[in-house]
Amino acid sequence: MRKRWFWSATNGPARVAALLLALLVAPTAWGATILERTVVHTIESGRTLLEEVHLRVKIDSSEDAQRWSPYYVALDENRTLESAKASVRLPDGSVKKVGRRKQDTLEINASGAFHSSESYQEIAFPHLPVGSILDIRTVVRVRPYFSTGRIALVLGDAVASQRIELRGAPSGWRWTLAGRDDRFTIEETEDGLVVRSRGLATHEPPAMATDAQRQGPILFYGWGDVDSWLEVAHWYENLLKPLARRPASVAKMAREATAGAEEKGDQLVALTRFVQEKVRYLAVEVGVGGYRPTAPEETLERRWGDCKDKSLLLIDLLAEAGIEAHPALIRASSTGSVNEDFPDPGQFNHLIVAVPTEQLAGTQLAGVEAEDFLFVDPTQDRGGAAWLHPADQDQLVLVVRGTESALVRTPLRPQQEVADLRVNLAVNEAGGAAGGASLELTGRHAAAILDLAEEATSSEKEAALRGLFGRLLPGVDVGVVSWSPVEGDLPAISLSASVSIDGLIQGERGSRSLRLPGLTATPEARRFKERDTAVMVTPGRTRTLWRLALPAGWCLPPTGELSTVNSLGSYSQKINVEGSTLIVERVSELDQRRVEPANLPALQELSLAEHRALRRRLRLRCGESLSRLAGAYRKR
Amino acid sequence: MRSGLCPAKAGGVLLFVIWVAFGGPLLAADDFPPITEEERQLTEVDWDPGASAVVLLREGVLRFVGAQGTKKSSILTVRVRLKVLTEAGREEAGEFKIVHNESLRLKEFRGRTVLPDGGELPLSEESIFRRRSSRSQGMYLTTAAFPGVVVGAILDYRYEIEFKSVFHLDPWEFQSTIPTLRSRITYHVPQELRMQIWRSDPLNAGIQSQTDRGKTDGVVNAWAERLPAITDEPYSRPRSDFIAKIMLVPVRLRGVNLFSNWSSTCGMVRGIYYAGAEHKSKEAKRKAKRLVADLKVTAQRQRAERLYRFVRDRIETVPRGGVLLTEKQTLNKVIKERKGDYADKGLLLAFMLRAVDIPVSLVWAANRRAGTGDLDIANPLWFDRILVRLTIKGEALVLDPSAPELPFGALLADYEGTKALVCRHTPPQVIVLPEVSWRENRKLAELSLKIDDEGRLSGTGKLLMTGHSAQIHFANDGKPAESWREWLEERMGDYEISDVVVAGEVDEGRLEVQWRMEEHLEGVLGDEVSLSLSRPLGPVEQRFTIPADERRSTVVLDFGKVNEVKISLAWPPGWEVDLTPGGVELESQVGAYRLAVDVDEARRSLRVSRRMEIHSSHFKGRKDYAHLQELWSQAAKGDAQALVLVRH
Repeated sequence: MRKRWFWSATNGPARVAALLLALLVAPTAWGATILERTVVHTIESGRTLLEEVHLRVKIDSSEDAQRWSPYYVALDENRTLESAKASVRLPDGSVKKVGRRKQDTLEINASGAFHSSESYQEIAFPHLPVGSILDIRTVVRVRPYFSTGRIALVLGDAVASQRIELRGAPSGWRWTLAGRDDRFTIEETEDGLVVRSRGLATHEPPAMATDAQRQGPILFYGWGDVDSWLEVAHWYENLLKPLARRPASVAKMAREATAGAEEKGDQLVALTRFVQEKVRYLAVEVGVGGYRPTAPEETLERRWGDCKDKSLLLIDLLAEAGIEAHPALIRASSTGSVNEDFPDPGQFNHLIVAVPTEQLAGTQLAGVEAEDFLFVDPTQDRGGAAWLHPADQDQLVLVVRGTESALVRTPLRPQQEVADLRVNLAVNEAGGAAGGASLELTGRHAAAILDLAEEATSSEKEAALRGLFGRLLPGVDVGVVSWSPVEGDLPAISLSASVSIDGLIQGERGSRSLRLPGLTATPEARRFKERDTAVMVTPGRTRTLWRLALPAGWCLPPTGELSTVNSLGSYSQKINVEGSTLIVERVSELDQRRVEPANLPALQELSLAEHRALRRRLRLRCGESLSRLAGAYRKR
Repeated sequence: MRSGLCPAKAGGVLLFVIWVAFGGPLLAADDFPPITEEERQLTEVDWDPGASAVVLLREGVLRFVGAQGTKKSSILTVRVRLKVLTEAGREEAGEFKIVHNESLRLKEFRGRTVLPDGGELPLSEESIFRRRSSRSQGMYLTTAAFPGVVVGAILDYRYEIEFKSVFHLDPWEFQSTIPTLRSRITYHVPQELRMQIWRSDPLNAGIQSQTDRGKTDGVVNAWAERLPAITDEPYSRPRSDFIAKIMLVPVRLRGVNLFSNWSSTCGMVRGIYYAGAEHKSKEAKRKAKRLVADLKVTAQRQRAERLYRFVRDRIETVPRGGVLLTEKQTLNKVIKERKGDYADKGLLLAFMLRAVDIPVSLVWAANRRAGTGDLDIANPLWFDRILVRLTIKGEALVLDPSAPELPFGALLADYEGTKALVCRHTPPQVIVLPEVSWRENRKLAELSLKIDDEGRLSGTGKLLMTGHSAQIHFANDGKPAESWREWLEERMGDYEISDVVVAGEVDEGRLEVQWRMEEHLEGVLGDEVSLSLSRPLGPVEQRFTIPADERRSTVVLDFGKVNEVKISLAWPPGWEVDLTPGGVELESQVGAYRLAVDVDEARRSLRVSRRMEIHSSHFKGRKDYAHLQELWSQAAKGDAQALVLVRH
């Protein structure tokens, strides 16, 4: 699979490409039976790799036919098709070959780049009635950019018989099976290994799965000298060597962009902001250009580039300001991470910048005091140097720094990802309420909304805000809405609306009750019940504050606080009364990204506390104690 | 993945899908006319405030083959100048994409960026990328990334297209998704070619034009100025319906009628495309006769149904629109390969019906989501599908064999009520395709629930669907029971769904799903039960969020329909109804919403009835829009209510 140094997108002309990508990497609704799958990778003289694939697939439904035809073979500047043969045995026993006329070569940017060298051999089968059996044999010659390879051991469909083989491995080769399980029989041979399996069921990853769970077990293998993370860093440094560094134009720009900034911290902020905002993101990936950046001078002149172009430019700009910075290879993903046990540049999909913090002592930048590196992502166009997108957080990152290169972990900053909903209403005698609501966001949600707002018309923004408050507060009538970016170190936006809700409080005196919707930070417990594998969640903070001015003489609930705190975070609900104003505050904090099975009870505890409190109605009964509320936390 | 952070750009307004080929050398960037002081000073668009970028000029010159300056090809020259006004505009304007093929060629393409300080950056060859997106179809994609795109920058580009034909049935669009200062098109038409001018200006942008008849060529000039951006409104007709545009339709060449009227257009298409396909059709004819061999000649409906099902189910649909056939297509080939596009399948069905002596007509139809054609102009490109019309025992039927989810005689909702053309030897006829009543598009969900001693809700459910409400689900039913289980768990929220049974066939026009449901233990409070009154068909959210006085266009929904939920609930001793939602009853010309709860405390049971009707798919005018807003508002409020029972 082609290396992806950027994130997938939905650009118009790539709709076919997006579909193709979906077919290649993220298929769902598996149903066909792979009768036989043989994959043989042969390392030839340590320089090239021959990938031979043979598939026999039984089509069990019309959906299978659509998923398997056309069949695509991924090619690139370093991946050439040696042969592609296909035929189908129809249910009546006749065999039809898929000739060259039924094959096409598509040079499309399935991975979302503006331009790339990737292409696909498309093999279109004729009409495939249920019961047809496809036979596909492809051979691709690869000139790898680094001496590693990988083979997925499961596809989505069920596999009756499978043989995965590696041949020609030179001495000193290495391998690992990520997600090892006993469905596979592994046999080492003289020059490689064979992995056999029979009767593999359909691969259906659970909800909130890690990338590894989604992909299933993968055989990683490597040969040659690149066998440690230090060597991977060295490989990348060699890739950068041909590039002209720190040209005069970059020095001039560094001076201009940092004019007036005396402190290093201020200079770093100014230069980061310059690259983030003035050099637009655009990915062009041709051959090894998918890994090697453009020279900083060219990036600066044309004012566009992808993550590696922007990172290298920023590193050079910082160098001109006397700030040491290094390329940092990272796997940007909200649900995945690098397999630490197998040094391989192919595991990364993104490049950011690592700035040693020792030179930034005394600055106000987040994390500088506590961490060895400040990580900056110049492809973010919001948040400057203070904010790191959650997909970059809590990730193993290879800081490329000569002999000091090392795999380190980026920080986790849930406190930067905040959603704060405040609803301030006056309640009338009939139980209806009117007033205002606001939603303050910082972090990724704010960045996403700011991006959308920039491209939307006033009318579109207004409609979107009405829809948003309508979903947050079911049954609400939304009046005037407004939005405004909030200046600061983090991406932040404030959204507000005048709102009214008929029948917010229902019932007669003595039996009045209300249910207060709100934001949540935890997933519902049913989504991970009976789970024995890790669960990926979204760290962050949510707060919902209701202030309800009740009519005179109405009963008020008892005040008090219920809270749950554990190793993953916390949830609390506070009920207060100020005069005749009822104040209900709910705060939820989730501090981890990956929850291991041992911690799932803690996640369940938080989830039950939060979701049961949301589900339970609050009763306005004179003299009632908190005991009923406490029922929300009763374990079943 | 993080598409919010690192998206590849869509190309925005510059995503012109032009069927051209890229070639020729890049010329020097100094060919562009000088920047005017007005262009340099412009920082905001007063006729479209807040715009991120503006098209300063979009100018085209189309010389049809035979006009002065042409040899063997028609030539379209396009020049565009635009300016970036905000940071967002950089993203929108900085990239350029062209899809093209081998039969039309681009003779030159060049561009430049003029920086705010007057500095100039040419669009270098290294920043222009060409890819062969399909080798077999000769398709290409050429992209370009402009350098130095900053706020205040002016981007110039131009290109020239050659095509060996007088047929250019794509209109010149004066507007795009960003505002336009000036847009202009000049047509040079050779004397032997007669053209009909067609224009569309639904929002009164103000197209002006001038026609001159010179010594050798006719010249048509059309222009418009200070045009606002055309943006989408939710639940509306497609954007292309609102764009000001012009087109010259070739109606006569050296005495030969071209697209002068529907008779000549139909005649041309039949002669050039259909006759050739039907010429090689022995296998199709044989197949048709074999399929109905056991049916009496008088059993016309059964014969028609059988052939319809064969083409619908046994010939795979290639999702490619249009009424013209691909090159060298034949009906035998469609039969042999068992696949065909909308035109192939429509033509095949018509041919097979005729082969068994059932008279039919071809109907050219257009999906309303793709834009509305003006049928006063005989342009075959208005249409994307061939349907088949026939009359059996006095009943007029229109068949669509390209949609596997449609029963005999049904149409997709997006075609119902649209204008279509009966393309036949006798004068073609514009018709309106039939539309089924909203009452026939029905979803009825019936839930039978009880509360157990633990305070847990459980029971059974049944969902009955008819009409379009059933058809949309037939369209994607790979694993029906599993798909419905997932759908129900999503829609029911707090319940585990099991024992799903799906019954119903496409040809029955109805679909029924039954299931068992049980509240997830984690959600059970033990002493309190809240019951949603609208699931699985609700809750409704207000979707008409633009104020009525700002709404510009007709509201277009999928189809008129009725969705109904009926719930019966029983509870054990020790429980009581704590909160009964208020009833709602609203009826207007656009639809209705009714919610009623009937509690029988003595029998410890209750019944809920919730019904939402939408009486049409199209709603014109602000009055209807206000009614829609009110309907959705009341439905959202009604659906937001909960029925609450507590243990006392």
